[in-house]
Amino acid sequence: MSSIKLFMDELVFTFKKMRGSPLSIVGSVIVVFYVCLAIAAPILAPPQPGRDPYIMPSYGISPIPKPPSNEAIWGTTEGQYDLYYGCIWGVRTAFRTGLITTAAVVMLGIIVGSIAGYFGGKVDEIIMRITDIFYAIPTLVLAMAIVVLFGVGLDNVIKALIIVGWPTYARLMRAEILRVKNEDYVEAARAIGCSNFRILVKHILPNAIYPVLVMGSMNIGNIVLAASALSFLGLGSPAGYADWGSLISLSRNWILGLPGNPLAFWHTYTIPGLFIFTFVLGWNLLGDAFRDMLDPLIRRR
Amino acid sequence: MTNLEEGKVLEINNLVVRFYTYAGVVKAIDNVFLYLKDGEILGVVGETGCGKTVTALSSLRLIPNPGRIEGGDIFLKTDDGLVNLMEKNEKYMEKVRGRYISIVFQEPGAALNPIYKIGEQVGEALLIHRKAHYYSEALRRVEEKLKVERNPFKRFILKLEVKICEKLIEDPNSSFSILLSLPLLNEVNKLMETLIKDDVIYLLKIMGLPDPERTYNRYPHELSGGMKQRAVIAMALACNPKILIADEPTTNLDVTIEAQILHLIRELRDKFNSSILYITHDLGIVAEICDRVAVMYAGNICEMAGVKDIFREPIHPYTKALIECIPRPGKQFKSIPGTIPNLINPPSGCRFHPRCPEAMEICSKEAPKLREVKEGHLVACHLYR
Repeated sequence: MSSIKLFMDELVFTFKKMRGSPLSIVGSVIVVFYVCLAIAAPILAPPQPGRDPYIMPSYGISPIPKPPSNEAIWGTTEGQYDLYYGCIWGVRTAFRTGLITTAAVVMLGIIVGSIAGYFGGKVDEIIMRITDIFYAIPTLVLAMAIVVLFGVGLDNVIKALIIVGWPTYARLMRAEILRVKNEDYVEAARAIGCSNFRILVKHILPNAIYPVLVMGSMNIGNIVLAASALSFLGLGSPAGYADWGSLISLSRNWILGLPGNPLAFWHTYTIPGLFIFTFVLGWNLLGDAFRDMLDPLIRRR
Repeated sequence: MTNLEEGKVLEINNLVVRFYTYAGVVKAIDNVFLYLKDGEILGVVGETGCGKTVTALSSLRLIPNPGRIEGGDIFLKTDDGLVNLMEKNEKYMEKVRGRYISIVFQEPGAALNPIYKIGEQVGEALLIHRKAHYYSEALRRVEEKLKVERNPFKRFILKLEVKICEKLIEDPNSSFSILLSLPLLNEVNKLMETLIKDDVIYLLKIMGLPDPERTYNRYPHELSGGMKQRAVIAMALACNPKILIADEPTTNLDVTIEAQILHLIRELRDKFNSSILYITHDLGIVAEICDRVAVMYAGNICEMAGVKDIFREPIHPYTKALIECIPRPGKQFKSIPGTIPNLINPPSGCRFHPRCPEAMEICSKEAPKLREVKEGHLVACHLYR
C-alpha cells in the first residue's frame, strides 16, 4: 500500500510542479483537447456506414472549393471533400504518424546511442560515421527519396521519417551516456559488483534518458509537420484521405484566390493550417513541461 | 605461490600499471608490493598523484581507460581458497567486487546515484551478491503461506512461485527471474523486497544514521555530507566484505564529521572484522587509526612498517621529510624541496633521488629493492642494504 501512496504523492507533486509554469498548462490543454477530438471523431463526424472512415466524403465532382454551407459546415476543398470531416479525422492520422514515428525513433536512438556511448571504441566510431552520412543529406530530401523508393503512401512516409530521424536521437543519447558514464556513482556501482548490463540499464540510462524523452515529445509536432510537408508534395496519403497535409495540398491551386478576391478560398488552407499549427505548438509546450516534470535533477529544486 | 602467509588476506606483488596517454606512457605504478593482514587497518600515504588510488583500484581491477595493469599478481583469500585475481575474468571480478573487496570513494555526494533512494542503493549490493540467500529465505516464507492458504487458485499460484524460486536458488541470475515480476507471481519478489529492506535498515542503524526508516526513503541530496558518507560506507559493507578500501573518505568533510567517520570506521573494523586499506595524505589520520603504514612515492612503495615505527624511527629519507612536513605549533612550516617527478619520464634509479638530501651515486643508477630491515619494517633505500 505504501508504494501506491508514494506513487500518488509523486503524481501530486508533479502536478504541483506543473502549475508553476502556465505555458505547460496551455500545452497540456491543447494536447488533451486533441486527444479528446481523436477519441470523439466518430461522434463529431460520423462516417458513412460501410466506408473507410479515413476517406473524406465528397459532395460532387467540381474542383472548385465551396464556402461553408449546411451540408459541409466548414466548406469543401478541391474535389468537394468535406473540410470539417477531414480535419476531425485528420487528428487521428496526426497522432498515428507522430506517435508511431516518435516512439520508433526514440527507441532506436536509445538503443543505438547507448551501445555507441557505453562501449565506445570501434562500435562507437562506426555508428557515429553512419549518423554523419545521414546528416550530410538534407532530411526532407532524403525522406522524399526513401518514400519514392518504397512507394507513395502514409505508411511509407512513417517508415521514411523513422529512417531519417533516428540519428539525431542516437547522437543525443550517446552524448548523454558519455557524460554520465564517467560519474562517480557509475564507478561505485561497478565497485559493488554490478554487471555492464545492469550499470547501463539501472545506473546510466535513467540519468541520461530525459533529454531524449524531452526531445522526443517536442518532436512529435515536427514529425507531423514533416509528414504534412511530404503529403503536400503528393508523397503521402492517397487522394481523399483525412490528413491535414493532404488537405493543404488540395488547396494548393486556390491559395491565390480569385482575381479581385484573393481570400475567396481562405478556408481551404487556413483551417487545416490552424490544426497543424496548434497541434505542433501544443506538443512543443508540453515537451517543456515534460522536462520540468521528468528530469530528476531539476525536479525537486 | 599457493599459500599466503598466516593472517594475510590480500597481497599485491610486483604490480605494474601504465597509462597510455597521448603525451606518452605514464608509469603510474612500478613494482608495488603490498599486503594486508586480517583485521588490520593499513594506511597508504603519499603525495597527490603518487599512485595510492591507482593501487587501490588495481586490486579491484577497475583501472580506468587508458590505464592497463601490465604485470604483477593480486592474491586474495576467498571462501574457495587463494585466488590470483589477475588470472580471473571479468565475470569473476564482478563477484569479488562488493563481496570480498569494497571501496569507499572520496566524494560521498558523487558516489550516490541521485535518482535512487538511499535504501535502494544500499540494497543493490545485497541483491547482487546475496540473491540466492534471499530467494531461499523468501521461499521459506511462501511455503509457510502455502500451508495456511485454502483458496485453490492462490494455492496454484504460490506453488508455481515455489517451482520458479527453487530454480532460481540454483542459478540466481537466470532469466526465469522475469517471471517473478509478473503481476500475479510477484509474491516472492515482494517478500524479497521486505527482507532486503529490513537488512538495509539494520545496516543503516549500525552506520549511526539517525532514523534509519526515514533515511531509507530519502534521496541522496536530502542528506548532509557526513550522512552521505555513512550511507556510502553502508553500501560498501552491505555484504560484509573481507577488505574495505577507503579512498580518502573524509577529505571533503569538516573536522567534526571527519572524527565521527574515523570513529565509525574503527568501530566497524571490530564489528565486521574487515581489513581496511585506508588511503590518505593526512599523517594525523594515519597516527589516529592505522595499525600499519605504507608510504608511497611516485608509484613506488618506499617504506612499510607498523604505525609506531614509522613515526618514531622513520628510515626512508622521504618518510622522514614527510613527517617533518606535519605542521606543528611553534615550528617553522616545512616542505620537501622540488616537485613530484613526471611519471612519463621518471628519474632513473630511485625515483626520489633528485629530491633526496642523502642521495648517493648509486641512487641515480639502480632502483632500490624493498627489503626487510627489521621485523615487519620494509624499506626501499640504498642507505639500508
